Formats: sequence, C-alpha cells, structure tokens
Amino acid sequence: MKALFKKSSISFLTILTILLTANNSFAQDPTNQIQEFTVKIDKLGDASWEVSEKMTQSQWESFKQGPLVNDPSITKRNMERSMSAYVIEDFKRDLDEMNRAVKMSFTVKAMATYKGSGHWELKLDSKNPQITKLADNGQMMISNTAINGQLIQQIFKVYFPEGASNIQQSTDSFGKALFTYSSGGGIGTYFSWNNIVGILFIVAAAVTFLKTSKQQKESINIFMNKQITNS
Amino acid sequence: MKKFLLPIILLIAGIGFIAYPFFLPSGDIDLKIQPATVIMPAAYKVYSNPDILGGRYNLFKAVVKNSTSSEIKNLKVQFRVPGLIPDWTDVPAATNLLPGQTAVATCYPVFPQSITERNTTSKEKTEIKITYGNKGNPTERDESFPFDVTSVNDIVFTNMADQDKAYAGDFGENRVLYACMVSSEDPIIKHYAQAVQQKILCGESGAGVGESGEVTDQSIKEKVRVMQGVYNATLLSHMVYSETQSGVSKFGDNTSSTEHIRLPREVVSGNTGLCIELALLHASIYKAAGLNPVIFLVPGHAYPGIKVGNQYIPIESTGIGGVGLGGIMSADQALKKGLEELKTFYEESSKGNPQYQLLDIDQLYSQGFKDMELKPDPTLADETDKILQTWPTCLISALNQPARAAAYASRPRPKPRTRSTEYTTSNWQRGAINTISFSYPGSWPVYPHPVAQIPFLIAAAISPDKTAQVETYHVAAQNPEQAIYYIKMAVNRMGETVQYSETGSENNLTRFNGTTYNNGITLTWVGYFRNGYGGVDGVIVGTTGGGNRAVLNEIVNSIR
Repeated sequence: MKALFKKSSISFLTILTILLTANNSFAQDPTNQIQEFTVKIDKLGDASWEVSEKMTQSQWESFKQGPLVNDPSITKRNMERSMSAYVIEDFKRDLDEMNRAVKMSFTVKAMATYKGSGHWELKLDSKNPQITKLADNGQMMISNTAINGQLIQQIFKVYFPEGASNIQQSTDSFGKALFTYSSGGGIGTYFSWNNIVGILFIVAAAVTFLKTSKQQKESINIFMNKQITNS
Repeated sequence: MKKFLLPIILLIAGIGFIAYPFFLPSGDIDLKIQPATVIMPAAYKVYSNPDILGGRYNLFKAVVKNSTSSEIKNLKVQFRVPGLIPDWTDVPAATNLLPGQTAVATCYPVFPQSITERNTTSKEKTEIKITYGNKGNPTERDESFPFDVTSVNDIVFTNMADQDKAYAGDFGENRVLYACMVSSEDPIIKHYAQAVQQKILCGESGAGVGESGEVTDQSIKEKVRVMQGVYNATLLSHMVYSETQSGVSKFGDNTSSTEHIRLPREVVSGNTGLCIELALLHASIYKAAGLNPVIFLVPGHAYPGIKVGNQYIPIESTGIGGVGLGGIMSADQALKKGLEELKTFYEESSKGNPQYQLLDIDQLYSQGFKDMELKPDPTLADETDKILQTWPTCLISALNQPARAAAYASRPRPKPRTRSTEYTTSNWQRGAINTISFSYPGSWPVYPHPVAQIPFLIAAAISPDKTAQVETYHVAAQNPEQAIYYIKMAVNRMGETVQYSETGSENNLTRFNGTTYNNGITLTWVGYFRNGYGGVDGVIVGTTGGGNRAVLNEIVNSIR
C-alpha cells in the first residue's frame, strides 16, 4: 500500500490549484486568492472532496475563459490522468455566478489504507506541514502557493470518520506527514451474525450443561439420601 | 449420558457457526484491471516511478473491491512479464479489506536494463495473480493482458484512448519522454563530449558560473562558447540533417503517431540526425559539460538550448545543413536563428498553445525522469572515433607552452606603410593548389605546412619583409562557405579573430574578403575558393599593411 498512496492530498492541492487558476495567468488583480479544500474520509477509507473558491470580478472574468467552466469533462479527464494511482468518481462542478464562486466535488476511492484490526493510515505528500487541530476528528493546514505568478492561500481541512479515535500525526521514513487513526474493525469486526449465533449456541450449551449437571447432582443427592435413610 | 446430548449438540452447533467460514472458500471480489497498451524501453526507468506525472506511466492499475460480507485478509497482488520480469513480483496493495471497501493497486514495474537492447517492437503479456483469504488455502484470481514493447528508439506520442483525445496537446503528451533520451552518461557520448571540450573548446570549461555560483556575463559567455563548440563539432564532422522513420500505430484503443529516434550515440557515429535527434545530442553534451539543457518543442520541429538563471539561450542545431535545408549556418548564425525562434516560442506558449513545449532536462530529472543506461558499443565507438580523429588538435594549449609563446611573441609587427621596390615581375614563380593556379614573386620564400595545427594550410609564401603572404588551402569541406568557415575556426582556436564576408565570384571561384586580428596585428586578405577533388581548394592573399600593392594586385589577378 505504500507506493499506492504515495501521492496524496498535497498533490491534489497542486493539481486542483492549477485547474482552478487556469487562464488566470493574465489576471492583473493582485488580490490573493483563497481556496478551501474540505476532505471527509468515510469508514471505508474513501474521501469526498469539496473544493471551493470565491473570486473577485476580474478573477471571475478570467476564470470563465478556462476549461473548468467551458469543458468540465476535459477537466475531469485531466484530473484522472494526472492522478492515475487513484480512482476518482462523482465529479461535479457548480458555478455560483451571482457570488462569483465555484465549487468542485468528487470522491477519491481508497485514499486511506486499512491496516487491519481497526487501524487506518492516511499519508500526505507534504513534508512537515503545519497542522492544527480543528475538531476531535478534524485537522487543518494552511499554506501559500504561487501559480502563474499569483499568490494563492490554501486552507485544507481533513475530517476523519465519525467516531475515529487515536488520531495521531507523525512522519514516514521520507519525512512526509502520516496520520494514523482507529475506526471500526477491532473487536467489532468479530460480531458477525455467525459468530453471534455460534456464541449464543455455546452459551446455551453451557447453560444446558450446568442445568443438567445440577439436576443430575440433585438426583444423586436425593438417591444417596434415600439410601442413607433406608439403611 | 443421554442428558448431556443437548448441550453437546448445542456446543457443536455453536462451534460450527463460528468456524464454518474458515471451511468455506472466500467470497468473491470485484476486480477491474486498467492495463497499459504499450511500453517504451527508452523510458523504462520512468515506469518504475509512481511520482512521475501523477503515476501516469504504469503497467496496470488493479481496482479491487471486497464484495463479500466479511473482511478480506491477506490480500496480495502479484504480476510477472515472462521474458522481462519472470518472477512473481508483489504490487504494493492493502492486505485487509472491509466489506464494501475498495483498494487500488498500481503496478510500477522495474524493467531490467536489458530492455534497452530491444530494436524491434514485440508483443508481451502481463500475468496478474491476486490471492486472499486463508493463508493455507487462499482464493486465487488470475488475469492477464497483452501489450506492446517498442524498440528502444521509438517514442509513441500519446497513451490516450482515441475517445478521450480532443486537443492538439493530447496527441503529443509523451513528448516529455524525450528527456529519457538525453544520454549524458552514455560512454560514447561522454567520449564525444570530452573530445569537444579538448579539441574544440581547448580544454576550457564552459560550465562556468561565477565563483560564488552566480550568473555573470563571463559565465554566460562561457556557456555560449560551449554551445557554439558543440555546434562547430557537428559542423566539423560534416554532420548533416536527415529525416528518420515515423508513422502511425494502434495500441489497444489508442491510435498514435510514433517516431523512431536515433539516440545521440547513433547520431554521432552515423554523422546525421533529425532536428529532435540533434537537439538530444546537444542536450546530452551540454549536460555532460555541466550546463542546464533544455529542448524547445514546436510544431514539426525541435531545437536545443540552455537555461541560465531565468533566461534561455537557444541554438538552431539543424543549421549544419543538409538536403532540403539550404545553406550552412555559422555558430553565430545558428544562435541568432535560435533567438528568432525563441521569440515565436514565447508568443505561442504565452497563448497557451500546447504544441509549444519546453523540456527543462534538469527539472524533469528532479521530478524523477531518468536517462536510460546504455552499454558500451564497440562498433559505434569505433565509428565515433574515426570522426573524432578528423578534428584538428586544439592550439590554444600548445600556444600556452613557453617555447610556443615565445615564438608567437616574436612574430613580425607591422611596419609603416612604404612603397617597396623589392618586388619585380621579372622573377615570378608559378604556384598551384590542385585546380587553382596563381603567380607570386620568386623572392618570397615558401613554407610547406607552416602551421602544424592547421593541416589544411598546404603552403605559404611570405614576403621578405613579412608584411604580405599567399597561402594555399585544401579543406575537406563540401563547399567554399564551409571551407572558409573551417579555416576561421582553426584560426580562432589560435587566439586570432577572423571576420569575413562573401563578396562574389570570379572565374568560377568564390571570393571572400576578410581580416584577421591578433595582438595589434591586422591581416587584411582576399581569398578565392572552389570545389576540387576530395574537398575545396583555396588561395588567400593578405597583407598587414605594408607591401607593394601592385604586386599584391598582380598576385590576385593571376589566380585562375
């Protein structure tokens, strides 16, 4: 799974930034752009991405000339080719013309790796990112990047599955950010219907055995008492 | 005992419910394989690197979904390619999958170096084995798919399925793989690059940057000198431009243009190359010399250059000429032409035209692109050696030796221009160089091969006051322009500056007027050249300012 997940969210950030800023290279507006990335990891390790950005009028005018507005299928195709190690599904793009805002959403399959016994791993392709805790199951990092001469601030939020615990951040052998967390699995995975029925049967067997043993013991005692009385 | 029958039955049933999954075959998985249809040996190192271009260059992607109702354990994805990777090899993948969970296993194969020895396209097969479940009795799923392995010289321009192609850039997305053909580590190219540095650049390093690493005017000049040296080397070798094979092939659902690229080692040994091949040769030598090479890709053409700081310096490497390309450019002209082309490149690339693409070799290598390893090839090395032997030995270093330097310093200095009466027409000699004949004063001593470092200078007759001279040349060149250029190069290497221009023709002879300058001495000369047997013959008449003009005119007028 190591190589499989070598590319991760930071690569996405770069690709998405390029997609979003395409055709913005001649925009003269020096105002910084702010892009917000929200990633929600579900219980199967799949990630739903939502990328949103609000623009100034001049940025919007320039953005409207780009492929994301005019040919979103090409954008999807380019994303799939630029991130070949992943499976991307449910690609959607919403434009809010009144507010000069764009929102892109898609699902990345198998972004987090299941290591067994309820343990999960999420690798980021970023060295020593500045990460702050957002909520019990959420982390946030902010970074700045320059694309086509524009300074772009990126706010990246990642939410682990509901009920995820032991969320810890470390680095792998290449110094890249690595999150580990616990979710599902563990003892819970043993409560399959066959195990439950099997355990019920064993418990029933034990109860029946004890009951039978007790009855037999009582019968023996009654018999012994009778023998003693008779003698 | 009968009373314990019920609990025993219940116990056995309970154990049976818990244990029965271990005796059943594992449930099935949903498996989708997305295979590569073609592999290019030139890029064999790229395929092993998942970091390159988002992992685009892989052998296959296996998408495995656990469609059973229980957790899958011990999942393992393996592959092999008989003939290339014969052993079953693991593909990194998740080992556990929860019900409904998906895993993606992408295969980045490590092909052996021997794949670069393939000279023809062949059909290969990838075999995939997926096992999971009980380690002792795993469930196995086998898949396979065919794919093409091209010749090491082939570049398939795109891997994109026909149905996905839309824009011009889609048809050439693999042109970035040209970077893998920049072979600065190839033993033959290294040898060639050393010869360029030794014989053409006279051992000077052109990789120069300032002492603290900053870019200075001097360092830029040095870099440009290297570029010109590489260009001059191809000129000196009589390298010519020529076309190569190209075509269209179908690989699965992808119909793509393909191009058969002669590797830099084949270009120097064959002494001919297409634009991209010459660009790759230049880039290879630049890299070997420590420069930062780039290749400019434009519609139907490619040319090399270097990156210095944030600037690019291009050169038109096809200026060496060839059938259909017209005349031969000097290195200066090739640089000028490159700059003209760069202007167009900037204009088009700023418009977002994807057909104008810059390959920054160092940057690509930092992203993971790598040149292929090539084994020594005695045949190509011999052919290259034969060409290198025709290059003259560099003179700068020889001149730097004390004895030579002293001799050079004692060269005659110009005298005041006086009308000499030394020359008479009564004692004239007839001179000739193959097809060209002329007359010169009999009092002028003749020196055969006066400058060992200029082997094509056959003889020189010098006036007694050392202010005028006649020189005869035989140059292994294709035409007078090339011949005079070679002479200029040789003289340049001696530290002298030569300027000339073609000024017409007389008696089927091409005339050049020029000056040669060194250490305060300016030789003004006129030369006449014509194609002869096995090269070009020429006569040059020059003066440092003294001498009898009438005599000089008589010499010039006698040239036939």
